[in-house]
Amino acid sequence: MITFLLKKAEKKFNLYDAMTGMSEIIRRTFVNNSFDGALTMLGVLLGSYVAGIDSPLLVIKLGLATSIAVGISGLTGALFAESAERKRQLKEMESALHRNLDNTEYKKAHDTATILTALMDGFSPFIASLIILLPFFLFSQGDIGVAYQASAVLSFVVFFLIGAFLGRTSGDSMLFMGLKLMGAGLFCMAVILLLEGIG
Amino acid sequence: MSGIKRLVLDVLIPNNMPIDELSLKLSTTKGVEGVDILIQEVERKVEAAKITIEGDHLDFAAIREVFDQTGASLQSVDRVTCGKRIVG
Repeated sequence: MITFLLKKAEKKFNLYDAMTGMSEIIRRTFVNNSFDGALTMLGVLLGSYVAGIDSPLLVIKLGLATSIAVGISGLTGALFAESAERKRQLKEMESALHRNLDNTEYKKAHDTATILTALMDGFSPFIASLIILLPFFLFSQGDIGVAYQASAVLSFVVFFLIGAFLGRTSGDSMLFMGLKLMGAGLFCMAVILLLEGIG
Repeated sequence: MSGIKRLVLDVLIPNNMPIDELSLKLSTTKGVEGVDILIQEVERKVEAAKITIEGDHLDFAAIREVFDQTGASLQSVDRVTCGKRIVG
């Protein structure tokens, strides 16, 4: 029964994907926004570290607020932008077909694409940033220095994995792309530490 | 009494709609025994298709419903064949 439902859902997804090209958009959104979320969280943690915050609970509160903000920002931003873009495409198609497309598979496909893109836009930065914050939950009673170090390592693991995924998508070297995104993270880290150091 | 045996329709299809899906949907419609979709013109947004549907008692309303549901647009009925024997 579950296999049957999954196959049916997969068939529907493939049909809607053919009509809207949503898998490409969702993939791009995943990479863009998870990197965005991870980098934002790294920035928040570096800021907390430089500011000398030594309470894990405070870092968790700051981090959670950031995760929720990037998640909601991604979700609502994508929902409004994507639905406006899809509406425009639908109107153009209606004019080309000389008919209204309400209640058609075509409209459902575009609505599904909008919702899935918005969900990916919201959840990918939320999850990526939460992963980086995870050590502060685990070491909430222990040494905060370990949590800072573990989070920094975890953020570079996340950067590498996003880069590797990008490499797999483009057919380039997964290692090279992973290192490239780690380099972007390193650059961000250096700029923050330099500016904060000067300040 | 014999019903409609063949319909030739002029239909506009969104150019990213898979025509195999449309033809399969049409082929499972009541009374339909065979479907042929021929793309005649590809425009920027749509494809103009000549769709030939054959069967013993074609239900035109049900066929029209498939176009309504999918998002294809029926422009004109170019040919209708009825009777005991197919002519032409």
